[in-house]
Amino acid sequence: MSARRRSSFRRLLRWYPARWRLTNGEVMVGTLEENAEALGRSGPTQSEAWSLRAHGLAERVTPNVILVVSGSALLLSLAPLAALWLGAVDESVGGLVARTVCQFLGALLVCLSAGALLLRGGGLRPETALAATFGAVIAWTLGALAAASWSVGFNEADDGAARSWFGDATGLFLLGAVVTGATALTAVLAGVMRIGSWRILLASAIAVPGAVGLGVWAAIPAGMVVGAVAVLATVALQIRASPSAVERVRPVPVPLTTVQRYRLAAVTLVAAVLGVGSVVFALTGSVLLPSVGDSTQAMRVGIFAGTLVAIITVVTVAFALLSRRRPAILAPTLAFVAALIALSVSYLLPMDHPLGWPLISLAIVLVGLAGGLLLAPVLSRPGWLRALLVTAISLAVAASVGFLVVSVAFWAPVLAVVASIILIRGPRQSPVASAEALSSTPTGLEADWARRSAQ
Amino acid sequence: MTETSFWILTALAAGRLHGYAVLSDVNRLSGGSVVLRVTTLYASLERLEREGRIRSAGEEVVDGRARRYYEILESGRVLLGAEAERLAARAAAAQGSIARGAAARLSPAPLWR
Repeated sequence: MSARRRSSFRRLLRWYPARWRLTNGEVMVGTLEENAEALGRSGPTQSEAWSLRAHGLAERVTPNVILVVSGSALLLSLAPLAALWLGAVDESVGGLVARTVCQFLGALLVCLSAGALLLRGGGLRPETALAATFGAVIAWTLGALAAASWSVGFNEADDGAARSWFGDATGLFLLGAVVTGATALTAVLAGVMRIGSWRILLASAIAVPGAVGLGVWAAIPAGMVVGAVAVLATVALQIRASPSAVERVRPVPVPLTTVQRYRLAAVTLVAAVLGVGSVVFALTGSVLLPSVGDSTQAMRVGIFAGTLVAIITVVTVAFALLSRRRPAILAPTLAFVAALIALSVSYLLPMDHPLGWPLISLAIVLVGLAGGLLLAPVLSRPGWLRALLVTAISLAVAASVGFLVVSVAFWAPVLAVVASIILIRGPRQSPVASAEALSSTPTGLEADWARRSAQ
Repeated sequence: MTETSFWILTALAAGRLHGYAVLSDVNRLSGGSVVLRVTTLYASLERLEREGRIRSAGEEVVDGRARRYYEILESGRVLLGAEAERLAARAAAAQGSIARGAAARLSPAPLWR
């Protein structure tokens, strides 16, 4: 019996990675056997077997695995957007299948990556993670079927053809997706919140709208891109912890003097005024100054001027941050300014100029690059991985929020006003500075507290 | 600190133990309220070892079964001590409150006329 029991445990240990088995396998089998013997069991119980499988799989979820999964999710979520941007949307059945697979497989991989992060962080038990994975796979598959069914049903109705069972089953698939998705999410929430018994109802109450929200989020390609990038960046931050990076000496920030702050605030306020003027001209220029042309032409002139004025705001904000010795801000600023120049040139050209759209696309790509470069300093890993992550994040930013740059003339004045208020108010005193100031008081609870917080 | 970590450190604080001994000690010390799975035990031991709270302290083979011993490190002892103090302070607060409540019940407030 002992030999059979031992071989059962050994077989289950195959779920663990080979390297883990080499170091810990025999010790674990020994303990499992001792435990089984003490409890009078002839082999692993069902729950013990599932626990071994779940823990074995959890051991395989390394940061590099999460990186690959979330990177794949990002690529999958970018594919439909790229097709849209390149005007290569395939309306055939094959195209529909490919889009749906990209969209829902991408969403599944984002969810699995996020769950894996929770698992690695100790927020989720392996058994719960495994159960939630099963639920997520079923839920997203049903979600994909619901989306495909809706498209088929829509086309059938559009053609006036008889409805097939598949085209008619959207509601059924959707219900199944929500139920299984909510169940998986309940397991995750209950695991993370460490709650049990009747309070599981609370987790369910959050999980049902949560599952619906995730489904809606998956339907928005840009939303999925943002989710994938968020997970990717979190993993990158987790795996970067090389001692050299942690021990790197950071430059001491030197705040601006009051005069410098007021000067910069004055410049941003001027930019805000000029920006508002540009917006007013864009909206009413054809009435105020008929010689400029029709309303479209006035709009283009206003946006052109507003975009140029936005450069002042961007440079001023960058200058304020640079003064705190953050050279990392330099490259993203240059990319953003280049984007604004490209955009303003596109508005300067005649409306049907062949370079107009490529320049706007370039501006969007440069905004994405600015986002990627902004995060580059925290992604301190091997150069190739950092380059890959910066590229991925840049693409994601460009594809998701990059298009907002075309309306920069409209939101830059708001940014300028906010920046000038922050500059006038001055930086908040850091806890260290507060502690230093208070430590001059020889006694007192406040001074002691401040000293503690400074440590 | 998780409950599992607390009980494992508590078991190891008494001395060097092998995996199964930790498992049975946790069960005994917790009065049977905590029954660890072997999988959970090793995942927790690995994490505590990675965090520098415990370390493996030798292996041996007994009756054809491999055993690995673990011992608590100073940082683990300090962490456990801090947790024990925190729990003791909570318990004292609760008991004080209960005692005050019992005293109040013995001498009820006079009714207002």
